[in-house]
Amino acid sequence: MKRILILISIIALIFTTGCWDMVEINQRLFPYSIGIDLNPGEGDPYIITISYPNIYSIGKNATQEDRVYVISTIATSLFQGANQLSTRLQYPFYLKHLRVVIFGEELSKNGHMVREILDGINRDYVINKKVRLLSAEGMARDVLMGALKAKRQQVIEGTLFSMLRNDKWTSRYTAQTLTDFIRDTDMGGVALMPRVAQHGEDLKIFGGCIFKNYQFIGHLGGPENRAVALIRGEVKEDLVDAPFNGAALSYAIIGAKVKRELTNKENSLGLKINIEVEGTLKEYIYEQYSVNRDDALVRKMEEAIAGVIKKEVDRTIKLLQKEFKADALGIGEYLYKFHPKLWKEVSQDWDEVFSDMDIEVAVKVHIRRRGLVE
Amino acid sequence: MGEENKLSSKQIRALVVSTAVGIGILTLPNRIAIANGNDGWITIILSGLLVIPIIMVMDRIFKMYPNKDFFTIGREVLGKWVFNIFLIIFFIYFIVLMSNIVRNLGEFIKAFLLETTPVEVLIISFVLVTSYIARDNIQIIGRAAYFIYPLILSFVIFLFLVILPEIDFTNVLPVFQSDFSKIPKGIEIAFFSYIGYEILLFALPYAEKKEDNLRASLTGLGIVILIYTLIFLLTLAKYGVHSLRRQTFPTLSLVKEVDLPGYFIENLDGLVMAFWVLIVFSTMAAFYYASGIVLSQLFNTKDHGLFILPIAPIVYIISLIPRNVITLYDSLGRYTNYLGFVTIVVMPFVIYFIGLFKTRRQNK
Repeated sequence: MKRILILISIIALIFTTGCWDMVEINQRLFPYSIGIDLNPGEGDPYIITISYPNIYSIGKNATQEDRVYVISTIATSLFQGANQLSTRLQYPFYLKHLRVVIFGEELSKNGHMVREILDGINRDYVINKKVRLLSAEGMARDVLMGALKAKRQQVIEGTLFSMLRNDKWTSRYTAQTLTDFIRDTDMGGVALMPRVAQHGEDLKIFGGCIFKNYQFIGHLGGPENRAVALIRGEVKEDLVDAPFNGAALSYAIIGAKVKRELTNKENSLGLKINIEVEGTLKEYIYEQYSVNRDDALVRKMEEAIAGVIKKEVDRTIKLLQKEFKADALGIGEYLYKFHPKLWKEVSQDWDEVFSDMDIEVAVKVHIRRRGLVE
Repeated sequence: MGEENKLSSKQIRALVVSTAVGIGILTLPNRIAIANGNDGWITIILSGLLVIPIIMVMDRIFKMYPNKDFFTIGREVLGKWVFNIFLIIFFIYFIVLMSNIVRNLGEFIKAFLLETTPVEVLIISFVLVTSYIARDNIQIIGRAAYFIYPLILSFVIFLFLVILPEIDFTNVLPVFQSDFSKIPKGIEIAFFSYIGYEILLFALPYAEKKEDNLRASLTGLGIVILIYTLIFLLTLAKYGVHSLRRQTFPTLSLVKEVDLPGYFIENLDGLVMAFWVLIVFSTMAAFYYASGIVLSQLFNTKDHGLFILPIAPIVYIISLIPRNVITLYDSLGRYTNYLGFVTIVVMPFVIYFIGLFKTRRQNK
């Protein structure tokens, strides 16, 4: 009797185990990038564009040719859009692997709507909070459609995402994740988002869009973004050119240290930023005799490069202070962390204080290595 | 009671850790950040230190009356009726606490793992699974805790290692800038995240080496303080204080931030939830066992296993009362705290002081 009971329970186990939420992996669509635009016409406010890889094109026995599909709809929110689209597609979307969210230019200018969308993404249980944010030049939909045509850049995991992952090779743009974007805004009211645009056949990510309280107010070019990264101490590898003795000197930055120091003067706030750049010599003119054995020459080269970097940094600071009145440099964050008492006084009208601030920059360049030839 | 049925001091340490670390760990950083901002770690450590005298008093009680268990001592010291009233409060406390735990667990699993599974099914299956272990003795619970204890430690260490590249420790600054008058408010929150050590009341009499009891329990408490502080600092370092105030489940959100290169490790929330269910299991098992044994003492039966299954529907029904997650914190969470204060703070002290008074008078 006992044996029969045990047998029955074992058999029962086999038939009763299972998963309520089981979905086969090929019965889901995994969007990699989503673009959101302001709807210029009548109806709901957003145009949601979703691009997802076509899993039937992967592998040796691929049955279909198109690797990525792009589809778009007009909806009241991102999730509404995904929902509406699943009535037009064979499977529902599953946003867990969403990598990139692109904001259209017109949408970016509306701070309220940007906040709506960020809240939705941040609130959702499924979406990974490391999703990268991008701001498009023009329509986000065009960028995603453009990704289809950019045959050279096509990778199955998503063109834009692969480009953003590679941001460690350049400082022309700095990939921004959702969490960091919100954190930056919390700290100083300003955050940067890299900019994407169609460039001929290809897509191009460059510079940064300044978002002040989640509203787009202007953009920085590639060199300016590098200057911001330098000041924030986030610079990664990049190249700087400097004219030197009638030839172009090319210098590879491999890292930088930043020290900030508050210099309080009467009535006005002063900040000294010391940037120390490390790097190697990339290119100089080929000489008959070995020239740069001499340390004095290297020092002159360092000065020349430092001059170029300083000029660029100074220009960027001035642009941010006077034109945008937006502290994208993380100075508010620095004050909040290291001079909290002072921050309490100035945080109320930080934008004004920032734009009147006296920022002094000192750049020091080290050429540590000079390559294979002397 | 055979030798093999005793709790070793390692098991007592594990019992404290695995019972205290439970649902609180997921929400604690957020609630502390709301109360105390950047200085939340002070409150976490302070409230941990507040638990020390309570544990010492518990240990003292059992030293004062050696070779007696908690219930005999209680009856002897307080008298049958007063002690029974305390036991009833104790029982209600365990029931509310367990309902709080299972409802939280159900909501988490539903949100992060099984979207379409009804929360009722999750709660029932979890309660039934724990009822299996709760029928056994405290020794078995101790052994289970000893198995799950390294899991908790490795979970924290693993989280620390994988999140390290993502965080910026300057976010912890500035220190000592928050309003210190708000620290009591924070302590109120943090103190109740340590509940679970009351299992010592049931465990200490069965210890193998009674003289090691205090050290083992306090080491366990120290580990819990360390875990809570570390988790708080990690979430703070990742989010900064403003965003941390907005994250409902900062510990889980932190896991979602993990992104090691080459797709090696990412979207870890499913895995972590699975780990975490085990951690909650050990918490729940201890409380479930305790509630059963309290009932069996109230009804003067020898075996507490009888009462385990009848408790299950009570827990299930109470856990479904709160309308949503917000009322869950306001109702069940708050009652747990009030009842907990009476049972695990007031009761040991009352028993200790009256007992002290009585033994001194006898000696004279």
